[in-house]
Amino acid sequence: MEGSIYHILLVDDDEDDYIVTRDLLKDAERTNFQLDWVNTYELALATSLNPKYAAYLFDYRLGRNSGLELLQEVIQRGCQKPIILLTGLGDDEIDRQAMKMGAEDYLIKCQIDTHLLERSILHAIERKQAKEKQAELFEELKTVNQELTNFAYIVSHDLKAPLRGIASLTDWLISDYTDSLDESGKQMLNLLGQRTRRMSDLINGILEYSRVGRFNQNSIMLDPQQIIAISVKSLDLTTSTCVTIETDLPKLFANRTKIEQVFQNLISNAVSHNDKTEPKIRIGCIDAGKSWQFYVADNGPGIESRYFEKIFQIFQTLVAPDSSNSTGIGLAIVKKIIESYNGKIWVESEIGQGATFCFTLPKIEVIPEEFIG
Amino acid sequence: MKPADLILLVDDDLVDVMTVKRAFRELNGTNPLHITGNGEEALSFLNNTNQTLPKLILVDLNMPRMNGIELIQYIKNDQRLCSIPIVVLTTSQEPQDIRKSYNLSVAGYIVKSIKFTDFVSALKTVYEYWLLCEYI
Repeated sequence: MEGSIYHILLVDDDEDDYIVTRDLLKDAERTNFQLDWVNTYELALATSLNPKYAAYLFDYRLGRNSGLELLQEVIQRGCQKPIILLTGLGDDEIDRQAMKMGAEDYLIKCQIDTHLLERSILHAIERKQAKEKQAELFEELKTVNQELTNFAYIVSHDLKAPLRGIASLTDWLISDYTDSLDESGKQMLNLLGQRTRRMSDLINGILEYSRVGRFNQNSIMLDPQQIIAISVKSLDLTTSTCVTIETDLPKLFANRTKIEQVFQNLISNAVSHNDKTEPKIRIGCIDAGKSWQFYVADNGPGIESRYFEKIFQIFQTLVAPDSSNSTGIGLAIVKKIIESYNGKIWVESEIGQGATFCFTLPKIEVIPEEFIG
Repeated sequence: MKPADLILLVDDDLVDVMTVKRAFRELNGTNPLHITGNGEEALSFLNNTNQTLPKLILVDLNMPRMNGIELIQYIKNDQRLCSIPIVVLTTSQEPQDIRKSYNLSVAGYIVKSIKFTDFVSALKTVYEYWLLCEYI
């Protein structure tokens, strides 16, 4: 910055060092520095929160106290400006500690020249500003995330409550006023009831979708075979439905609920859209190098290629809402979960040939120790 | 609880109150039902010493002024009130609401179903259970 003055505070108990530092900074060509000097720990504390200073230079040795103590105290008191520690002797341990405590740089006095000092101060100011900016953005992101979480919650309660009211009133109209309604009136009320239930399913879908990635993030070692067995059981399939696991399935390190949701949604999807009297679902896994590639294949009607992308979008269904209970949320949830594990999901299908849903999950490189054995 | 004991319902939604009343009628429940629209009203009712205390409290979570969680907190911290069983009746399926409620030792957490018949059967189970239970 041309023309502007950077005020720097030096804390050093040795006046000679002050004079040397002052002269070094005076020679700086790019920057106009104004160096102030205090010589005790106490004076340093009193001056350190003065907003006019752009950066601080602390000597490591300050009488009874060390520059590290001062550094800690000043940061604790809320100092946001960069602090550079100066020392007579090079010491890697002090260097490490200084950085850990929040110092921006660590300079050895006998090695300092104008160029080094200027560069160190300017870089420290720049870095500190970048860090502040980053922290600001992080805070912003946190707020936006929180707002989104709250939004899903508000949608859940504030939209569901009146909807339930409409549904109840519709039910009561049907039961209490049956005799005074003609067929057409009854049909309208029945449709009204259906629509409110559908809307309720959609709202629950939004909630479920938004909940992926918000709760129960802990991962454990999972046996997909077992998870598939549980999913099949919970889906309460007809006896003519046949689910077979064709290959060995690798153990996964992931969140249990999420992997359950993946298999449950894919299997239930394969069954509910199946047009055969004996639905057959085949599940397996192949080694795809860096990742495992799972597949869930069915003998259903198949999907046209132009819908391959669309079916994974939220609320997209290929059948009219009145002819099915599907809300179009299941595959969107599966996609969100797979992508949260850096995997991919797609469908392979031809009309009349059934559909195969494939997804990849990266192989576990390092299993945390507590899960071994 | 006996069929003559008072039940307190804390809910701000008129249709929800109608739902509970209707469900009670269908169950042939004879218990008097006192209704308050939010936590503050419920507290002033409970703190009125001329009034007999309810033997069961059904409480909604999301209400104006004082919400269900705040009300439950208050009741559980009050020597005189803390032994009254509380059942949460709510729309919220949020894990955090469920956790907060059970952390405050509620006796149950029931999600209001959109289908009236489902709601009636849930309420029937709750009601019959508390009819079986001994009370102080």
